[in-house]
Amino acid sequence: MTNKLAWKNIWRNKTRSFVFISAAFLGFAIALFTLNTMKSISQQRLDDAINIQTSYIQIHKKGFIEDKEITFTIPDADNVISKVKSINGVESISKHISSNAVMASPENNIVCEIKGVVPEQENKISVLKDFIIEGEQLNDLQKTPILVSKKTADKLKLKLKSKVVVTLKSANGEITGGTFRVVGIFATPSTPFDEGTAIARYNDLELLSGIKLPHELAIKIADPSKLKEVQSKIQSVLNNEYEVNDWMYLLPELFAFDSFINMIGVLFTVIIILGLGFSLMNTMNMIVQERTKELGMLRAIGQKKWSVFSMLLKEAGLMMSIGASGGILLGVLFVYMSSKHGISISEGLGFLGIRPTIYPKLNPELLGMISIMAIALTLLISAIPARRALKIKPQEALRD
Amino acid sequence: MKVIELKNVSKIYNPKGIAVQAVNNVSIEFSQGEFTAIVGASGSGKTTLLNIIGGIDTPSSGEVYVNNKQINQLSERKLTEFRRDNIGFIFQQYNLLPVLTATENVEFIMELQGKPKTEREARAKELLIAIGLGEKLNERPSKLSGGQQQRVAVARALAHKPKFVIADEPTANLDSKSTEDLLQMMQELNQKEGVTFIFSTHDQRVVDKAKRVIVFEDGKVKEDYTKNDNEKHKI
Repeated sequence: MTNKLAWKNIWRNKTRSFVFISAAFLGFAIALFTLNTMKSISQQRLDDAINIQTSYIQIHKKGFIEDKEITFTIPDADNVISKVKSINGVESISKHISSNAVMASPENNIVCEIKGVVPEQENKISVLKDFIIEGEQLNDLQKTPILVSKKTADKLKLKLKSKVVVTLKSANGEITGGTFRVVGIFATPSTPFDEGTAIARYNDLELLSGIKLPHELAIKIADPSKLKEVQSKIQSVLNNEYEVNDWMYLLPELFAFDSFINMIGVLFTVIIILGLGFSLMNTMNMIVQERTKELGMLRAIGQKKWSVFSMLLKEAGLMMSIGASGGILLGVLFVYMSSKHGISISEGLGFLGIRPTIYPKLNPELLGMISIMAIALTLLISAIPARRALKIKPQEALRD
Repeated sequence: MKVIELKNVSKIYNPKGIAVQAVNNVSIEFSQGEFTAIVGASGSGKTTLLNIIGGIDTPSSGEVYVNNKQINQLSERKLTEFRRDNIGFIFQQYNLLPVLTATENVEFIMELQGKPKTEREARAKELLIAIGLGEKLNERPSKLSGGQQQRVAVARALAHKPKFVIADEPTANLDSKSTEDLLQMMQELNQKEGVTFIFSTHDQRVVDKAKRVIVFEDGKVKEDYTKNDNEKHKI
């Protein structure tokens, strides 16, 4: 009957209970939706950057990342590839030539990073092909093909089949150049990548620059949660001549942004939870205050302290359960609807690598975290006024 | 048979640092089946005495025995269990749980004792019918008159078959008719079922019905007598 009593007690002051339940309902709905949306923005940005720009792990000759020196190629690359491929957890590897270059058309020129890739290998680690908006991806049949971004194409006034001259430093330190033909134009969510990158075939750049070995090996792993483990295994089979870095090292601003987004999300949730906590504390304090005499009577007739304590906790728990479960359901519904229809945000956030339309996904970890927060909040906050109720002396409460 | 015994019981309160002697070296006994009224002016210490007898309050000094068991040295937990299992309480302002029905209010104490639902329900109905509230079993206190609420409170006090019932001014908020009905009902329970009643009161009608009267003044027993045989108790 204490459960029944707790349930009925909630509705003694319907307005007060309704206010708290509504606050919990909205608070949890907003917190769940906002956290999932922020996490999805961050995750989408990470996925895009990893799948288009860096992959999960890259191997370079020591010093290449700092100097981008064209002669810093990976020694004994075939042997390295063979060793890395045999490591459990490595899904695929793509070798790159990477060089700073000047790309010129009759109309204009730009400085960019040109990457030489083996199309067959690259397609296994990169999703750039999905962002080609005109033309086609690189293949072995094309003649000196190049992929440029829409932004580059606009700046250099290039169209499909346009010719573009690429000038770069050769292996012997001299300036060399060659003509490439635009076979595809891409537009990724990342403005910095689009503004600074062009993609050519590995063999063509090898021929142009005289570089015989790759500058980097991009590695896709089977299970992203085992990133550190795989990275460590790769490092262990290579000597100190090589650097093995994960995406967090290669894209520090992205990692920082992800951490920042997570921190904002946690902060936002903490603010909502604190607000709810104060509301619950206030509600429970009023309940104890108003029912001092009744609680004294219950103690007098023989209800044990723990039973009074748990009855009050149940009341708080029931109110929180109704509000939080409703709010969580609404939040899940919001996330589901948004995942179907998307949320349009500013196009101008491309400089941060954020897509103009976000499709939030429900993150089970966040759902779990919110549920645990609801339980913990109820227990912690309502325990304070419930503990106060235990100090009520029946003889004093009944006299008042 | 002696049910309750107080030996040299005193109670001193210290509100705001000023000592107030509510009960002053009281020694008193109550036997099984008594129907006792404790009378006295407001502030004479009646309620404090009842609270000490009922284990709600503890004396500053002295000893309290119920069925030869000293209760004033029990731990708080044991004392709570003792009250739950041995004493029925009736309060001046009824103190029913407003969200529960009459039946549920009577059942509540048996629930605290862990009695099964069927037994609780049967006992609650039996009592409520016996005190004339058979038509009000599922009514909440707000739908009952003051007299009816106090009857439910009496049923609640008797539900778990306590050794004795303590009633603190049970008729204070009742009209004449309700007072008369309530007293008659308590008398019947006292006579038929042998329930021991100890109540504090200002009400002459209650005093008139009592078998034994204890006059309390300034924390002391001024007079203590049994009406039928006009026997004076030793003070």
